[in-house]
Amino acid sequence: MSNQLSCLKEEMKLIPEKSKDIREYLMYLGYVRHFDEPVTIARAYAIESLFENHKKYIYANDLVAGSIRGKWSCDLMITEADSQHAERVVRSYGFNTFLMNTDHFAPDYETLLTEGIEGILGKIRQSMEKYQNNEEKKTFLKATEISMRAFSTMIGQYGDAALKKCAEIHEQKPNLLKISEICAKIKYKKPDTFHEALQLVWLAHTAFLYEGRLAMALGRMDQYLYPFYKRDIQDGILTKEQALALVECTLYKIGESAYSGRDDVVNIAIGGVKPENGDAVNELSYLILEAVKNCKIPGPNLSARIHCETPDEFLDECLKVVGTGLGYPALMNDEVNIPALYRHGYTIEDCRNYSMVGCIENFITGKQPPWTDGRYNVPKYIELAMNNGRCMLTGVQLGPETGEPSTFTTMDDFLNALKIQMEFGAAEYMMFFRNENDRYNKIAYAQPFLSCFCRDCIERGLDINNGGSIYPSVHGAGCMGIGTFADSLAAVDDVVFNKKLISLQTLKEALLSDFKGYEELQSLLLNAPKYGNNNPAADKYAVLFVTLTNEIFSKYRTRDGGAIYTAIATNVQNIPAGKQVGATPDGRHACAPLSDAASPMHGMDKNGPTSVVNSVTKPDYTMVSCGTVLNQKYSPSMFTDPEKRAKLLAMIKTYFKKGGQEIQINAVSRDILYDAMGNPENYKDLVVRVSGFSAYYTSLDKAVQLDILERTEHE
Amino acid sequence: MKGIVSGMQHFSVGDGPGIRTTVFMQGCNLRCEWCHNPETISFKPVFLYYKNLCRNCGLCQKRCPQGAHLMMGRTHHFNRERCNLCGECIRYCPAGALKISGKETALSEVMEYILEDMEFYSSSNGGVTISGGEPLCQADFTAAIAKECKKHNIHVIVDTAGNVDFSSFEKVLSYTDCFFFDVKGTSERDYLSKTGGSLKLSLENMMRLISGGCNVVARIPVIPSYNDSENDCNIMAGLLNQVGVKQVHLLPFHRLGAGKYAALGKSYPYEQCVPPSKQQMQKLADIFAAHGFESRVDG
Repeated sequence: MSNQLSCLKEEMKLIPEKSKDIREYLMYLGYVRHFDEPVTIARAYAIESLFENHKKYIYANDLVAGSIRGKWSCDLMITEADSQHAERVVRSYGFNTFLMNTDHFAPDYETLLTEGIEGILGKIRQSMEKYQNNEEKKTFLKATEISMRAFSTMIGQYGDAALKKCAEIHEQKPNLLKISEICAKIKYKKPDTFHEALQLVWLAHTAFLYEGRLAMALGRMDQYLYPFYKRDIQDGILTKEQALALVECTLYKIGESAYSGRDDVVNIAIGGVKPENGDAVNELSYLILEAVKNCKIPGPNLSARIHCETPDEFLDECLKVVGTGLGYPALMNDEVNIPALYRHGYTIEDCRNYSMVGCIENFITGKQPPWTDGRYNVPKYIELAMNNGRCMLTGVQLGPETGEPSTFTTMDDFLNALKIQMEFGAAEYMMFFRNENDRYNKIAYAQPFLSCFCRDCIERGLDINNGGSIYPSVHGAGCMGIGTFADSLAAVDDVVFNKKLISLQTLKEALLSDFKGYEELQSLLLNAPKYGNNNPAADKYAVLFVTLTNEIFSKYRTRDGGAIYTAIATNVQNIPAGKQVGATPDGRHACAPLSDAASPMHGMDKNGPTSVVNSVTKPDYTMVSCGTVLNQKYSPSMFTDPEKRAKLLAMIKTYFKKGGQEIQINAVSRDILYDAMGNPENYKDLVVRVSGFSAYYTSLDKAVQLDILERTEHE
Repeated sequence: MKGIVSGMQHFSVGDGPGIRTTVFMQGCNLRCEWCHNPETISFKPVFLYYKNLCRNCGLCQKRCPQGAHLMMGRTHHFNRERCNLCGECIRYCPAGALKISGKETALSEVMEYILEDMEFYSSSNGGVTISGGEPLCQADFTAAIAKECKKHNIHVIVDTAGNVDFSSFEKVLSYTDCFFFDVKGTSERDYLSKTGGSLKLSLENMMRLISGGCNVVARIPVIPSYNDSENDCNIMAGLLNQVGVKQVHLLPFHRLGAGKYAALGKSYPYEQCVPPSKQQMQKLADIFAAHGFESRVDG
């Protein structure tokens, strides 16, 4: 860790005083002077006010300026009545929701860096001339110009603030002088050095945060910054250590999001292939890994893109970082993601240049509108198929009447009913999405600043959500509960139709009573074949899950003709989603959590990680264009011991070779082991591997568990 | 062809190079006091009841035709004498608290399990380890597994204490890439008292294997206050030098088997025994290295 980072960490421990967030008030100051103007222009002035009027906070030990502390500090006297009035105005102009394509975006930083603000403003001018007879386009372009100029002013102000900070602390700190010098240049001119380039990107990111956007990605940092890095190193004006310190001080400020009470997810993609093909790993890829490791905060959501020619050395470095307990980088398989995107008609170069937004969502960097997604609760439709379309928790008729289970004589009958329920559910899902997504007039809701970071909004004179972007908007339907789904269908197949131990009608009654009085049946269901054990009887239903959801959502398009992707990744929402689902045929109780993402149901994978991999890779994940999450846990010794780490590396490479899309790994920390002792039911799959014998942690004696805990501490 | 198998385990990372599948054979002719796989000792299947996982739901009592499971109030009691290992209760246990170790298993079933992970063996230079129990007590079955593995070009390790007639080795050696050979004492008397076997027999077998050109690794379980002194290591190093073995793996004693003793209804004599520290293990490994061995701490 650089000395600068340790100093910055110390300085940032001081939490800002929690006065009111003045973002809305600053926007109001912009709107209030332009009520009579077209709404697009009024919006641009609101952005201008946000950028220019927020207080520019500078950390004395920082190397790269740009902080969101200004949201909570203000020299203006604002009374409660003032802010209420401001709020009324701002809310009237409307605010953005997650279903409106406003955040989860990977900006086109490459163009910003090669052309600078000067270049972008020039392009806006050119476009204005080109469209001088088109009022709508001219208005939009004027709005982009206002917001871009405001951004330029904001950069200059950060430079001034750095100088002011020197005066404040009575010390001419060289780092702050450097910041002021850089800001004075890049507020207009294009950056020439690594430091200048990084500063410009970070201030753009900061500007997006002031706009109120979440989950804005930094994209392929190791690619767009590399030409600057390489040149500076060659010219002898930058050392590796200095570069590391710069990246550390930049990324550590992602942690400022904690001041507002929640961690932001800022995705950064490293590695992968170049747009023209060939391995893209470079010195910066390693440097970013190192910086993220040293920052040790949850915000930078690091994604390492892996392809068949990724050097083992790079993957090994990734595993070392994972082993620190951070849980990232998440490992992404280019060999699946690129074909998964290519299906949708993007050029192959754009597919190869993909990055991720939010958690794992695949994104065509800087060429499509921001992301939207939602949750499609698939196990709910098993419940409806079992109960003739009625909710088992409330009795409400939620789906079509597909028949009482007593009328189903084969597994296919049941699957047909299920498919009808799923199709209906998807139609309802799309209705909710469309209604929300269409609610807002695309002209009135223009996003002039963001549009400057998406190709070819300026050239076309159109907003990012109004046809400006090269590609149309896409939407990700997060298909939940693949494990619950596969296990439930496998149990019905096995217990009802194969072994004929009970009738489907009895199963329905058992589910309706949440297994009360049906405990023996529940045990039979729990002991039926489970997804995650390389058991074809269960895995074939995971394959069905992926193909069926893809088939159902392929029928739909977004408002501007883009694809509806599926995702087998749902954050931690398997828990709240489970609360909406009655008991399921896999033996799961009503309202209990669903299986998480693409992982097997908690505790049901009893055959070790290779079997999980064998199961999980059976579906064709090139159909899942948004992305997958597979969570796995390993003991810390798998990462610290180089020989064992090599085994883990071989495991991951095999997973990817077999068509796995993504994997994220947790080194099991002491906290988890403690928790597992107290709550063994949540950790049935936690395997501790030692010597020629391995054990489920929860099946061990308390003394032995403590023993392992102690051992873990040594490593 | 069939054998009695205690269990099979994918992704074994402590049983040799790379990612391996380990087949644990049921039954052993030694009685090592510290044994960490006590469920594999008996040649007959044994029943394990994990009290700490049991939810006391009473479903096993309902299903057991023998009356081996009894609910007394809210507490489950298991009467081992009554159990005839029919396994009916296991199908109904919702908690995974009931298990049987030792199942008559067809060669085809073992191979099917092994072949599931072919891609992992090749990507990691791994393979299959046949362990136990004592795999050479079922030498014909072990040989059959090894032979099938070689047909698929899978690397095979046989993990043995080697207290068997050499004819058992002869059955497997042409299909075995490497023997993990346990060395469990410094003198004939010690070996007999702690394991019930013969040190001399095991060393003779080891020597014959090596002189026959087999790849042999000596694996020494380091048991506190039994064979963990510097002197003990010097003696073992001397013995192994005579035998001609080049590689030595030291395996620290651990207590992970304790839960299985409880599940078998047995007392565990090493309950209070403290595992050796990492530093101590490294010191002992260094002694072997000083004697010219390629030595390491494993496990």
